[in-house]
Amino acid sequence: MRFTPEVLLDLEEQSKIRLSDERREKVASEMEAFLECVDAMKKTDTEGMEPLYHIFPTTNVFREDEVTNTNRREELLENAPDQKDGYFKVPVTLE
Amino acid sequence: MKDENILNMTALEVARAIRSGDITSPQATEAVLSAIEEKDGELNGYIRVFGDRAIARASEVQKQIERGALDYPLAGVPYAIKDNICTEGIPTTCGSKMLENFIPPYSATVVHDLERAGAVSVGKLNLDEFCMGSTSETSFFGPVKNPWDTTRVPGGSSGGAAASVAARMSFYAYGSDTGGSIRQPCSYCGVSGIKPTYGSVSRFGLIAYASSLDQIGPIGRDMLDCAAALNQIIGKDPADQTTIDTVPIDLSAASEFSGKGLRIGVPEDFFAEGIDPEVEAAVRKAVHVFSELGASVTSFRLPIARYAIPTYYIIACAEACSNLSRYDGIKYGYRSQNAKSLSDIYVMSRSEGFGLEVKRRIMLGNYVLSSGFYDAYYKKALQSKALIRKAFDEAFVKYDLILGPTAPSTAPRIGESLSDPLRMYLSDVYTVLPNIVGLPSASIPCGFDRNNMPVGLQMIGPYRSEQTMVGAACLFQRSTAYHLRFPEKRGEDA
Repeated sequence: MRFTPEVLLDLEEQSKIRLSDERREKVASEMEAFLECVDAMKKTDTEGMEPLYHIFPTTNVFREDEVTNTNRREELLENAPDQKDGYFKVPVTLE
Repeated sequence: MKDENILNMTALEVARAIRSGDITSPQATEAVLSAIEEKDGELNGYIRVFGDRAIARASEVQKQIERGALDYPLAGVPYAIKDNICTEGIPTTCGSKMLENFIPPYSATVVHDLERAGAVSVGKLNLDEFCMGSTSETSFFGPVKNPWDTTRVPGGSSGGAAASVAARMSFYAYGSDTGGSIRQPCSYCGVSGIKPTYGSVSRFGLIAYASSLDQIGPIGRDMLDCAAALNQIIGKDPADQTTIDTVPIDLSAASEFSGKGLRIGVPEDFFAEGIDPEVEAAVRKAVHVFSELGASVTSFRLPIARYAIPTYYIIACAEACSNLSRYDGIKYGYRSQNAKSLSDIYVMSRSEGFGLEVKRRIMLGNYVLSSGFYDAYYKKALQSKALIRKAFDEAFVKYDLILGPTAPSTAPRIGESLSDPLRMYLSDVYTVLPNIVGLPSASIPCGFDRNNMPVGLQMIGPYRSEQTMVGAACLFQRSTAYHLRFPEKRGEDA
């Protein structure tokens, strides 16, 4: 069992997600089943194989450094759950 | 012309009828809106429908067409778009509570392209939450139903898009495909769709799931409609550095494509354990149609296919956990009302805002990327991706196209997959391969099972081979009638 309660809590912390107690066990067994299926991949012979990141050769693209964006602060803040004086608002973080 | 007659036309036929003055764009739009009104209460394919807004847009486009200012091939034809593609000023939810009230301050590049081309949007389509699912059941806005049988799923994640085209609630639609999310719902709903070569279509404004796999593509009633719809959105975009130069598909060449000399490869591995015998029979029959039309058909082995699912899900979850870390409850999206501290905002907003499937994939992604496991999972998956690329490179020396089933079965019943996520993941076995290495791929209807549920034929081609793929698909559709059947006509012989 790879997804012990400790591993799961650590993953929840990394993911900034908290599972309910009744869900936790179910999720652990589902992830375990998934990893068992993934283990099949370990049998592939990838000796000396370079990991493939991009499918097409990537090259640098240069352009003139021109300003094309405009100040849309008010508009962008409209989607914020909470805002004040043109800033995103969060609870006090430092006393 | 009666609404019913308009609704039975293909998108290209509607465009021609508008150009010739037989119908107007507002008429076509009203026909689609009444079909949505009539059917979508049950099907739930749309998250948002533009009523008056669509009619106003259609009238404006109609004037431009009459003035001769718009001559794009699909000008004036109503379409719909998946709700993970940003539309300025119009909520874009990605099927999630997290983005329920998100109103993008900008539109995706494809949306601008479509505005320029005179397309008329009738609404935003339902999907699996953040595209994570193969059944369109994980949406915060409720499951989509399959128009052929409403006790079954339409596939996913572009289930709303495929259902809307199949049910005549749109003439064509745009979905996105990360591991089969266009092709598999096309297969389940009996419509056609293309996942283009990676980079052909800009992803700017497409809400990211797995950036190296995601690609926007069209869904239509036949392949010619899909090609016309794809042509509207291709091209290099300064806002997406992964875009490549792409040549539009020549529609008249595609409609005259001859099968003579076409080399087709059929991987026997695609018919291994787990495939429904009726799906296998339909697909083999379809392949036989190609050989009767003059193509050479050869079976071959593609053993790497067995590593497709693990490779895909590791890459997808790894990229997803990074892409979805932006949802912090601060800049936009859902914020928990119970959060007291900054840390609470992150954890509680994400825990309350994301559904279970999304949480599972984020956590799996963090697991495979964590130190100690990175080499065993993520690096191994990228090495496996290199092997998959090599296998396809070798295959495409011998074959112009690879054919096989799109999915191992026809549409399952609602609820079946949710209880067994691993089984749902495994159903993506054929569709994930092209995404992993960025190849173009399509699905077209090729038969029906004993319950009258559609079966899809998947085509995979070399990079930038959309012209050949569409040509071959059009040839198949000129020779068969599976694509002409739709839910109201079920039971009639194709």
